[in-house]
Amino acid sequence: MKNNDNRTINPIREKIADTINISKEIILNTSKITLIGNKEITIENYRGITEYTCEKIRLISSPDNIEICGCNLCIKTMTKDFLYITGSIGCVSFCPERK
Amino acid sequence: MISKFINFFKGYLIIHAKGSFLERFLNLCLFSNILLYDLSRQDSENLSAKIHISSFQKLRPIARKTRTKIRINERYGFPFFIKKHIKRRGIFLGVILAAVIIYFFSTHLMGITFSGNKKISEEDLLSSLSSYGIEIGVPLKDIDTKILKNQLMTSNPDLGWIGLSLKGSRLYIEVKERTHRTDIPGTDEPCNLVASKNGVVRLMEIRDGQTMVLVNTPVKKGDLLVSGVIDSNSVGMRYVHSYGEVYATTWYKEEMEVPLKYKTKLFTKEKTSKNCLEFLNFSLPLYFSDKSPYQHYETYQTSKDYSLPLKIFPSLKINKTEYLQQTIKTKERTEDEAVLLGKFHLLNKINTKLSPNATIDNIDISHKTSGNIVTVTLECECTENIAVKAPLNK
Repeated sequence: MKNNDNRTINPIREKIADTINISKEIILNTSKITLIGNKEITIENYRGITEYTCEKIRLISSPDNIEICGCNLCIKTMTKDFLYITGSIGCVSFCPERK
Repeated sequence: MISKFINFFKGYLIIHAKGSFLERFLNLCLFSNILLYDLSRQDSENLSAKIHISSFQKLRPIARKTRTKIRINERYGFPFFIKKHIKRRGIFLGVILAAVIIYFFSTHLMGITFSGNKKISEEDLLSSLSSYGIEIGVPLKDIDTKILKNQLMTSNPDLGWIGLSLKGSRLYIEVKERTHRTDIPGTDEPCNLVASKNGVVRLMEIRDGQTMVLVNTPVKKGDLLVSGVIDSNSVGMRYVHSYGEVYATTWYKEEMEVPLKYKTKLFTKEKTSKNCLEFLNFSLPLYFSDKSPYQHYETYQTSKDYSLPLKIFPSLKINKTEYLQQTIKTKERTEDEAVLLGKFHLLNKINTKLSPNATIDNIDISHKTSGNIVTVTLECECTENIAVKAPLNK
């Protein structure tokens, strides 16, 4: 039900964001991921950590959870809505929220 | 870099967390606004992270809730540094003393540097400065360069221009000296030409003025050669700026005694030097006695300034006095050598008396030997311009 809601709301919100020209991650309530090569990654607007090891970091986010795989992953900075990870990043994938 | 400095200043701890629910622990930390950074996971149950001192107390309820054991591994930062070294009073005294010294040096005059003065000595300038209350050690806020400039200019007539600038705690004084006006009449002022020396007039090249002497007449020093007053029937009396050259034959005679046996001073290779440190107004000699170690010696004095590139510190001056040992030896010279030496010295002496562009036409040398002493006499005949400008006598 929630997913359906998201699907219906998202296009309208997207259009609003496009017309008033502001950052989409705020209007759409999604996370913003910035990668610098395969060494650094910053994630803004996430909700929490579900798994943290040197090889894998899993984060709760909307609409899908984020999974970062790699080696020597290290969280350099961690605040409520900002995460800065270094290490050699192999892949960033999105997996749907488990019910 | 800045964040590292801030972290160091605030102080931080490296903590070690051990538990089965570390992700939950991290999430709770996030929601209670506890900033953890530089996290590294060792294995499934161990984690280390850095945390600010102020947030550490907030960790306790979260740790209890998630059954995580927290241990402090290391403490870093300025608060711990202070705590560790608070007992070492010497360091703090030194820091305070350094601060006081730097404050004193940067708010008081620490040196005066002169440039451009040739005729006016530094001592004169320093004494006139001190009469206006400017000495090494006075507070910088008391120095008003504009007022001081006017005071110095009015008190010293030899100054043409003076520039004062305060850089750091050093006063730089640039001096331009006044060149005094000479009494030579200007090119359009009427003047006479008079003889500057005794002689016989040989050639006259007069461009303006009334010639008063004839060629081949002897003249004395001060005689009028060319008059600036022309009186003619057609024009009447008028004043002119007379100029031109009057070449005359002049004679010089000089005498000098040259001894055949003489004493000369020779330098041996031995030398010693004495140093004296000078800092502000204090001087510290680095020797015990002022006396020279040698019987015959010559001294050279050199002084060097050592200053830091920062202009607030006074410079350290090292005055070095070098004593060079000499031995006195008696030597002999032949009569011919004595005559040659006498000729050399006498010619030099005459050359200083000659006017520029003069030529020496004839030289006559004679000498008399009596015992140890040779008396050399040099007579010479020269041709030179003897005309000099002199103001009209009205």
